[in-house]
Amino acid sequence: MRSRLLPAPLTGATLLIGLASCGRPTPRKAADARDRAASTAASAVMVAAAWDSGAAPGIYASHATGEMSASLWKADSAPVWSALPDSTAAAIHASLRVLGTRAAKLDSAIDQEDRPGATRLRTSLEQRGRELSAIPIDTTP
Amino acid sequence: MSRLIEIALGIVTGIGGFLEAGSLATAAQAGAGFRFELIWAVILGATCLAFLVEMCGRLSAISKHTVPDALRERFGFRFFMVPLVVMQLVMLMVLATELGGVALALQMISGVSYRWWSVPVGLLSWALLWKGTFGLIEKGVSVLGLVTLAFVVGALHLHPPFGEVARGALPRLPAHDGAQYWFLAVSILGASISPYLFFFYSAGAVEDRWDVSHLAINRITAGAGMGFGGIVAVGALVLAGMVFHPAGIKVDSYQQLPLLLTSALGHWGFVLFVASLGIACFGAAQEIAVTSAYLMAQGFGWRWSENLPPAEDARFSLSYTAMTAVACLPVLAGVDVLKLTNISMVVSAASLPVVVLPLLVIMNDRRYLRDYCNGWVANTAVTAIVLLAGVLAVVSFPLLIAGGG
Repeated sequence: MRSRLLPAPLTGATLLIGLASCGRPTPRKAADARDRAASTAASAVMVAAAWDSGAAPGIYASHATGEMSASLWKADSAPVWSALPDSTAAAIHASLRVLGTRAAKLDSAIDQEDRPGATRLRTSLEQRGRELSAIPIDTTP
Repeated sequence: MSRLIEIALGIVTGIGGFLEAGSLATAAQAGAGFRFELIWAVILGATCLAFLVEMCGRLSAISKHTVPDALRERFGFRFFMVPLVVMQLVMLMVLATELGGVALALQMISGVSYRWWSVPVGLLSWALLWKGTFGLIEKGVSVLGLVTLAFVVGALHLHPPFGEVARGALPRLPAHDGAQYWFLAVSILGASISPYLFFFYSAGAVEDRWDVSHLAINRITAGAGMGFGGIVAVGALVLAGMVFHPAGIKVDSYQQLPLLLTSALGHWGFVLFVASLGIACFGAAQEIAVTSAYLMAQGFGWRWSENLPPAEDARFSLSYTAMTAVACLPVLAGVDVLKLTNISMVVSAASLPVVVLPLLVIMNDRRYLRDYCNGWVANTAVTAIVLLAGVLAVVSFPLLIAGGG
């Protein structure tokens, strides 16, 4: 009865999802996670710039940078980095912690309408984000 | 003159109703990841949708049947249960996505978490369905949806390289991240060819009492409305290609999306973005909730019309009430709306064969279409869509894991 109701592609998909859930962290996934974290940092910079220019309201900018800071902290505790050599993983963890802290401070600066402080944090966040992207990860199998 | 107004309104409805949470998010993700390379997927999706919408309008105008009605009558009730269950599940996911989109727009201007907006948004949507008429839902919200043209204006304002944009209209193999590329292509197609759109259109043709004299209007509004609507989605993709791609930004959250328009239009860009997201998602939520009720009522033979007072079609009204209430729950629970959007679009793509294959049979059945059965162009188009949908169904879930997970 069950096989009659479930079309073949869906059955196959269910199996694939089950198989994929057994997947372990790989350098490829780690490289993707690194790029996503750098992208989050770049987004926080862009949100702050939009707020500073008056294009985006403080309520939105503060909420968005707060969410991005939380996302950077979450990335720091992700299991994906275990696929990397210890030195690389340590460099990424250090970079993510700095980014998470700066993004949280940027959120506070926006909240307090501290424009000079926000500009400094933006510059720092931008630079640190570039440094994170530059950490090499060997993805060759 | 009234026909001209009807055509104009139909086109406006197509443009204003095209963009919703799924098409906006997938277009932005595609532009951010692959600049203009996936424009072809938006064009293909809009073309497929135009063919399907035209067919459903023609079916209703000639046979006076809606699609669910014809499916049940032609294939029997037991067969009809399959598309009914699949479609209801897909629509529930997409409805939650759209309610989440409205709630996120409200979060952006209020600072109050989107979770707490889910119930007020659901209530407002339900109240409008309860009190409103089909015309209000179809035309009222869609006319307001014209605000989404801001994405086209914003894209033009950034002076994109038109040669490169035009080259994006031709399908090509990706230079990098193949799995992500195909996953996004599938998501765009799933977002564009949403079955709820042609189910809604088919019910609307019956609500508006279409007949043979409406066939020309049907063809023009399907072609032009979906065509221009596709341009709005292309606008969002081009904006993301101009704003996010050079900065190395991947779209992971709806919170990033206002930057598309603030980068092009400054403060007004923010206002227009929030209005676009809120109105487009609200309009789509209304259409999905009422389409879900149409599907139930037409399938089970209940009395149905959005133009009747709820007391006269109680089971129909109860259907959209229950659907809206259930769809609020994932948003209230704090589900990641972007992840829900991506999953919904791929599931929507996977569900296409269940609806499109039987529709192909009906569209060639003279008992329904008389002398207006599909010609070779329409048959070829539908066959291509069915093949496309079949491929989508097979590849979309593995791609979700490899590329979008």
